[in-house]
Amino acid sequence: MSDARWQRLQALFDALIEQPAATHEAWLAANEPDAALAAEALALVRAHLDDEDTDSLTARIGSAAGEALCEPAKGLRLGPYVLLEEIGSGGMGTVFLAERVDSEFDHRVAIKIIRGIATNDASQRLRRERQILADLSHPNIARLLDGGTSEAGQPYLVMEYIDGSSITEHVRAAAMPRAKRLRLVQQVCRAVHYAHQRLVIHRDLKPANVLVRADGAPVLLDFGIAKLLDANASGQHQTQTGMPWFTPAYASPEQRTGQPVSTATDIYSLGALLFELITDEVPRPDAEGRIAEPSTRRTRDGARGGDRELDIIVGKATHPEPDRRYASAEALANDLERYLRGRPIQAAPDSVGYRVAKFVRRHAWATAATLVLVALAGVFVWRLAAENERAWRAEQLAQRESVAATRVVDYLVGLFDAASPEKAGARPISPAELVDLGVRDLADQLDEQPMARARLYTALGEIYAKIGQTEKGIATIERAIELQRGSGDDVALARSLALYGNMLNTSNRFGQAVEVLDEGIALQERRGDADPAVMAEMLTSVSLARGRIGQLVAAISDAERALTAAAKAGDKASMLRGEANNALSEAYIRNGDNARAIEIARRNVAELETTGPESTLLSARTYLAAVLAEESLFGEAETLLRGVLAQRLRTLDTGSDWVISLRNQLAMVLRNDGRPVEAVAMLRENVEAMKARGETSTPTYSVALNNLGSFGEHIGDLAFAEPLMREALALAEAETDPTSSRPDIYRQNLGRVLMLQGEYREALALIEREIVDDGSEDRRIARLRRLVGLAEWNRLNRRHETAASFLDQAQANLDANFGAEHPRGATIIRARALLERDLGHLPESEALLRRALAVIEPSAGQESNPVTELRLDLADVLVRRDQRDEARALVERVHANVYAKFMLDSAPCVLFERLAATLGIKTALQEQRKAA
Amino acid sequence: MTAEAPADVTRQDVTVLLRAWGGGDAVAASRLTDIVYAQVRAMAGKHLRQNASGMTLQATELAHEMFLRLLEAEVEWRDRRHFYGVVSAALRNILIDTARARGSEKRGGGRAHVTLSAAEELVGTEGDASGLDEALRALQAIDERKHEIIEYHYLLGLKREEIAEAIGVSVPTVDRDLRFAKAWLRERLAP
Repeated sequence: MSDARWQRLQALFDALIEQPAATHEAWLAANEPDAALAAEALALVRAHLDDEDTDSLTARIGSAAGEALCEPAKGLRLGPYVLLEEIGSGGMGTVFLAERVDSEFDHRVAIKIIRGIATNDASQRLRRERQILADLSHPNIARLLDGGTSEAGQPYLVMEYIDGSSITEHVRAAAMPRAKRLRLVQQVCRAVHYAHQRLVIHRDLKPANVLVRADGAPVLLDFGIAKLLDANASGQHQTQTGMPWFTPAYASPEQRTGQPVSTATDIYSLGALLFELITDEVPRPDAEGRIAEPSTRRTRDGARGGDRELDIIVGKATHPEPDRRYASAEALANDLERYLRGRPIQAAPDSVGYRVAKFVRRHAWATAATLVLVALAGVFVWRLAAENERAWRAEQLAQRESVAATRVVDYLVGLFDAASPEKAGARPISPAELVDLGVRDLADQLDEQPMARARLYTALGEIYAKIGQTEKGIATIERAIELQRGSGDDVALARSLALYGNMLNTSNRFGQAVEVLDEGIALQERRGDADPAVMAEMLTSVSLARGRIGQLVAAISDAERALTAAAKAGDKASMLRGEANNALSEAYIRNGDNARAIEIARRNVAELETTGPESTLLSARTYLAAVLAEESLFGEAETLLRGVLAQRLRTLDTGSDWVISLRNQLAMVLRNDGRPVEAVAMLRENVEAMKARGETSTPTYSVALNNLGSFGEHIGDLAFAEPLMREALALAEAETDPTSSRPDIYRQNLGRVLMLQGEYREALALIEREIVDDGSEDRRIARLRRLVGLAEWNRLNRRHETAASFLDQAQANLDANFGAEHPRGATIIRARALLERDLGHLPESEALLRRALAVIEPSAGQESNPVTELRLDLADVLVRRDQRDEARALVERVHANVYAKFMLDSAPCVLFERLAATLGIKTALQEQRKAA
Repeated sequence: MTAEAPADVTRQDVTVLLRAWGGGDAVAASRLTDIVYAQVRAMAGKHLRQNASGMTLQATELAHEMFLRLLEAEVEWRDRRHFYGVVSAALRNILIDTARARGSEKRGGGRAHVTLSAAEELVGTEGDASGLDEALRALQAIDERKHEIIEYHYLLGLKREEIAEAIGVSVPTVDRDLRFAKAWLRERLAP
């Protein structure tokens, strides 16, 4: 169609729709001689009128794509597999028979394609859990071989393909006698027990999931898959319960009511399965989950469904209360063994009920601990049940309660220790959630057992620290210490104090850390038999803390003592040595001996690469990066940090303290390496991560805010920086640690940003506040910045003499505290240069600016923002002195950096544009404005 | 900050790239396309909704999230138009990719017909969305602006005012074009 016709068509259309439909044809006949065009216009108008209000186009875009995603079909390739035929389908997805395409021999697998699309978070969880299941290797459990996500984003699982029929069909078809059936159930029980020992619960045991192969061996399908599906479908909350996936006839009462599942859940299902194999009847549990006694039923051949003893076994396995069921699947298998051999079974209902009740009464504390655990994660119940059995034997042996108490607590410590992402990173639980529940439940339990409770608090606090939730860790360990002080249990108290000090350090509360650790060290020294590991740990922590608050000599000697103690710490020696070496190196760097510090740090990394536990190695690398950055070896530092970050993110949440502090460090390196915009992005990620975690009142959060604000200032974005700095200062002022230098530093930061925006009154109040000289480096720097800030304030307010006097004070301060040649001197020289400029002393100003550049270039780098700013200042003065050639060269020199490293409306950018305009230099911004 | 790690991409990066593109930098254009494409892919899963008829990709919501994430408020209209163009292309591509995957499963390969597919009320008969793609191509050949407006409206869910601003015409013109293009498509797709 020609353009003219097309336009004519639209004109006709527009005209027609303004008129009543009845007149259309007449109007066209009168106005459009071209009959074809008229007909087309009419058709268009009809199409328009036909369907004016159905406008669901938008909502339906892409539904074809969506369908494609949820309906895989045979022939589809998934990784190295190709789907052959559908062999089953259920609520959770569809199962296909598939084979490897890259395999010469017949290698058939079952692939389960899970409905729905995994979010990033869910796929990560799925991957982690899959690993655990893949480790299950038992002849009676179908293996999970692989898994992944299809191109369309659907998760799938690859499982060993089992050619067989369901256990119930199999026994019926084979008309199997009861004894053989019980043997089959026994085999199933042992396979379930194997998985329970590896902390995996099936959650959906039913005949369809127990196949019997032609050779007669039962094979369990879908072990732990229900949990995986949960993980895929929802957040962590539901993974704790077994809610969405179970089959009613075989599901335990706790599953139906959405309570946490445990190994006892599987025992219930095994009992239900046993019932069905005895009676050939699908179990129909009553409202409480009770299943009929098999002996009240008739089997198909008319025989009675078992005897009194089988009634008892089924009854115990399917007891509505999880605690009253068999303690393990193995115990159920063993009782079946006794039954088959005609021996008395263990599950005598009265005595067991009686004994359990009695046990609960006599060991209220242990039961309380049990309840904590059950609430925490059913996954672990099997172990506790085993522990209960042992405790029960201990009772028979008349051992004292305290012994058992210690064991339960030690057990807990070991349990959580193993669950820390540092060690495992891949348990089927969320450690943070576990611990939250543990702490909450502990608050009103174990009242009569304060020591047991304290040790549990210590253990839980330690786990918080391990998973990077320092603030919660601190609150928890404080409860432990409160209970332990004056209790006489000095060993426990020392251990708690060591942990407490460590966490206070992590939380940047160094003064408080020194106090706590000194108490712990004194306590250890008073005892003859101090534990060298705890001692080394405390000395290392106290060395770090002292270094941060300026007690430098003591910091070195503490670190050296820590090294000595670490050597005696047995299998913890290399870890503790690594940590002590970091502390020693840090103490040297704070003393200004960077060469020595780097040497120690490098040696430490090398040592740990051969001896060390990985986590210590990672800390050592992180530390080495910090030292290298101090010496401007940014490339090497960045590589190290990115490596460590990647490694940490494998096991840690993006919002954990470790990850946050790594990003902070990396941001610092990026900034100093002249990539401020990348640095700001990195810090912003941190602030967001902490907000997401709800930690917005901690020192770490205030540090993150301040850093982000400072970086914003660095790229000239004052409006962005100001609210961040305000919030950081408010948080710092609310802190109770009197040694914290943050309020002083943050006041200077905010004051400066306000001053640069012309908010002079508020700025002055912040800048001028006195700062006590306590010897710490942070405060010394803040004192110097205060003087320079006051000079700048007075210059900007045209009080030139006062400004000059503050600059003299600042210079004296620098000479005394940092040495006249310190790079910080550049800020003083620049301030003086600007003062001279304002006074009209241009030659003096020029000379000073050149000096400032000479001082700062070597440390900050030629392309850094401070150097760019100074070059612009210099160009400005040169223009005023009419030395335009050099000015032009300078402006052109900074052109790229101004655009890349400052915000467009920042002061340096504005100055740049002004100078460029004066000098007749074309800038990208001018060009763009012209074009627009 | 690469296209592989879209989370790291900041709005400032995008602004810089758009500006460079506006200045004729072809590398910036392809770089930007990579970023947008990676973002769309990364976000697609989140915008799939389960409803009675299956899964639906909420393309419009996705587009809005893209804008929020990647577009600075003060980006100039010219750059904005570039950006919209890239986003709608990326959305279109991802729809086609998925449908192609489906096509190869169901029909042993073959051209997928989606783009603005599943618009049964436009297409007339259910399941035959093939014509819509062709009709849109035809529209694009005759009148590129109308095609652009249709895409911005349906695929990106832009408001009339936004479309007007982005392509530099008045709001009534957008309304007229939209009304006409819709009728034209519908008429063409009628059985």
